[in-house]
Amino acid sequence: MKRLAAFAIVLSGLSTLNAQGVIVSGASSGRYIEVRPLVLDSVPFAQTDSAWGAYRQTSSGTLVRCTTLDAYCTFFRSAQRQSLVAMMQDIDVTGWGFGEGVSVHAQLRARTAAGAARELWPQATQTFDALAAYVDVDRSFARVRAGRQWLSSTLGVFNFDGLDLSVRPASFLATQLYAGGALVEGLNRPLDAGALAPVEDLPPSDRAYLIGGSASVRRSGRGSLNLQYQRVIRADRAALYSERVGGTADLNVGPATLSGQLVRDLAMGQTNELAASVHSPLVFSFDGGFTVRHHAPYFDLWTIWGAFSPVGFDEIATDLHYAQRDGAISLTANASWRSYQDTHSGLSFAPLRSDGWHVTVAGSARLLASVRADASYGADVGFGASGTNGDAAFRWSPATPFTIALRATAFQTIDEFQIGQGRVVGLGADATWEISPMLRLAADAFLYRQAIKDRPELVDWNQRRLNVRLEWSIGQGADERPWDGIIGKARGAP
Amino acid sequence: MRLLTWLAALLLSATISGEAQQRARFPHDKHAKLFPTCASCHAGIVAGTADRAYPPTASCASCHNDRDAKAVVWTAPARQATNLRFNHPVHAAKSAAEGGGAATPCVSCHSLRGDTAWMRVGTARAESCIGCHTHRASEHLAETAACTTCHTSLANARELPTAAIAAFPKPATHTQPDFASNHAPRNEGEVARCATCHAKESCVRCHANASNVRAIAQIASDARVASLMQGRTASYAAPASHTSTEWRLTHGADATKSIQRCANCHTRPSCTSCHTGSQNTRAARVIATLPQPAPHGARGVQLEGSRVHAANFLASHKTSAAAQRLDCAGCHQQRECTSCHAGASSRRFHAVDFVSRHAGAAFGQEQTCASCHRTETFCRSCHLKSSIATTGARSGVAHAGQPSWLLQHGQAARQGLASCTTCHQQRDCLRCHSDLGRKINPHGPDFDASKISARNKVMCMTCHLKDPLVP
Repeated sequence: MKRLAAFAIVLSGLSTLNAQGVIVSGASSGRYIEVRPLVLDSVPFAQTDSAWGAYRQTSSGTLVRCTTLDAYCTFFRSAQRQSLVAMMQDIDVTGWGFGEGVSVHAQLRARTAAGAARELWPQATQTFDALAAYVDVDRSFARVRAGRQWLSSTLGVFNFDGLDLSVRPASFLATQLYAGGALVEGLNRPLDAGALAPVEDLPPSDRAYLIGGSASVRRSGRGSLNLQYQRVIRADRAALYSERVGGTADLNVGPATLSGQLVRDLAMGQTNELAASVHSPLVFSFDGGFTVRHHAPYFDLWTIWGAFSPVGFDEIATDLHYAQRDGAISLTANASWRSYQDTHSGLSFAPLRSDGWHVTVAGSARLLASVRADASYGADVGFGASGTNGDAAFRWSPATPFTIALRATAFQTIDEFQIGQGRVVGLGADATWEISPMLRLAADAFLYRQAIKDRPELVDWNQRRLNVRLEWSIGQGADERPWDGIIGKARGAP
Repeated sequence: MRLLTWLAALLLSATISGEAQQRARFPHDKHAKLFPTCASCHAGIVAGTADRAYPPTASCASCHNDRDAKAVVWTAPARQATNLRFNHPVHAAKSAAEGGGAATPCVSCHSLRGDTAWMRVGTARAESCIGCHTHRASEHLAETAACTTCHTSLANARELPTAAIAAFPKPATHTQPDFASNHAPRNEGEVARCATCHAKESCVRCHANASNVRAIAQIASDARVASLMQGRTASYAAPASHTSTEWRLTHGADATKSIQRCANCHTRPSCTSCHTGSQNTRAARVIATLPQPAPHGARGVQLEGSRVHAANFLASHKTSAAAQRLDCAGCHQQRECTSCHAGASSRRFHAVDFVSRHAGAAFGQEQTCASCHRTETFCRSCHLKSSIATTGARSGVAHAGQPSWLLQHGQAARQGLASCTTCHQQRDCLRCHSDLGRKINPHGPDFDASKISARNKVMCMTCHLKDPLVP
């Protein structure tokens, strides 16, 4: 209720201050989803046969778990198909003209879900969310941002309630200091027990403050360097939740770009990310790159996970792209191979796989002036999950405001450490209609069918999905559209 | 000799074609022995009296009477519209004053190329003018040609039909690669030269800022050119500077320095198709000075859909964004970041059915999931609700296919602990790995307890009943 009131105040403030320009854009979306949640079931012990270890199996081959002296064995199975309709309303407000460089921004989200399986939809009960709400004062040499905001940084993208001061003492130099109350990514709520209790049985004992800073040197066209430091401290200052440093660097050497990245967890003394890559245009409209990377997972100190000595992996990856200048044909291929460090754990005579690889090839071709075909194939093999998948799409754009696409997909169904039991094929269509420069309607529908290898008795994964999305923008000076931008342009990727 | 030259000039036809010299329809060469001078038939051309420019039709019948010769029907050609400034009487008078001969001047311009026989004539060639006039060029359509010496402006050549305008020869300079970026007239003389063949509509077709360009304002409007331009879309050739691989990174400085130069080809949408970011950036303020497309004017270069970032940028943009190598805010609004990074279910980043097959990508960390999603909330909330996650069982549904899972899970956990936390809560592990549990040590060989303890002793006490560093 307080948030709604705050939103109302922001909106009324925009009108009373007679802002020079206000853009309000929104996205209203509705989704119909069918799911089969897993439920625990049982079978009489007498109807099972011995398999291996603690496991037994039913006559149809389903693995069950039996506890000594219990009359029944248990196993998980898919429940009856359930459906839900999830609705989400995003509203973005940007107002400016309150003075030189002064603007206000708000990004708000309302959501709800209906149907028998409504509880399955994440955050269905959190009906209102303020993702961002801040005042921005931007002058040529400095910018101050106060309120709920997001930071994109070497250390990731995170949100906080606080103050962000950026100073640009020279055209090639930018410095930034920020501080405020830390928030849980995705929840947009303070880092305390109340926010995490539904999913974490040992939540942090207190809220936290975040403080950090960065310095960037950018020589346009030459390269750039960024260094960042950040720490998250428990509100009572009795403990540290995280302390990290990061750095990135880019350097253009002729047509090639060299990039490097380092993220280090000072608290655990572990390097989470160390990468170097080179990308360059090649011959005949080809460009490609090569990356060497070390990755290790990062965990905040309010969890015990870091004490389990997680290891990282070293990876080499390469990618190759071809795009005709007129865009008629484009091809992409990338591959990577990773090798995990020694865990000093497990069974020496029955080790788990300690490497993995990944390959993807994709292509796109304009068959006719208004018809485009896309296809991709990917294979991912690793110690925990492996699978292959393929996609194909035909996109027809009969006129500028209309786009219709037919899609087909096939992929292996995966449970961790249970691979390739089934294969899902899907057929669907999506369409967009740009009703006006400020109004766009998009919809898609998919039908999935599962074929389970040698297990006809298993309940299928068959399901239908439907999405409808209306994007709109109103306001003075609103000559840009919310779905534009490079991310939007990748929407068609299969 | 000079008089002959001037007399020849008198016979310049109304229209000069520099490339294709046409034979006159009257067979002059067949009458070569009958007429000793040009003026015997074309006296009016020299005198400037139009009715005597050609002989009367009846004069043919004095010979072509079906008795002496076969009767013919001949009519004098109609006066052709032209954009020439040429004046026969003036040239004739000047030639006479300089003592030129009677017929030679006519022949010097109207003789067929390379044929000097008497009365082998046709329409005059532009090169004939260059023989006397200061053209400052070796050929008719040369880059430095002074067009206005012989030609009036297109707007003043009101009788010239549209078809004739459409058939104007195109100078070779106009097809050179850098012509698009270097064709601006530098002075009024050059404007007048452009106006010989072009009208304002020629410029308005491509120039989005036509109303603000002084040179274009000086060129008159013309309905004939307007009709020729109707339906023709603007064509913009990218200047050489724009084809540089660094152009997309460095064009901001040039635009800030001289945005009006950009405005020749670009309207605001050219920029805002990429620069969709904050209205408060310097880039936005510069872009705001560009014109909007006029309802019936040029739309400017259309850049929508063009490739701004490298092909793999969507997956690798973290480094550029973090290092601020590019001014992200110049093109993007923050909501474009949070549409993915806020853990929303936007499908703009992941494929449409990514949720069904994300396990492999999560284990491989092809993109670092934690950059956008917190496993304790985003992943686990979904896994718990869909019953994929267990609530404490040591052998849950996900591991039912692993007979030795209990002994193998240590390696799996250390290799993919982030994936473990998408289902398991801390207490699941504490059942064994704690003082209150089975006291199984989960620490690896390089574990430094003092380092963690110095920063957050509370974490140690989650598993240990007493400070493990105190003997």
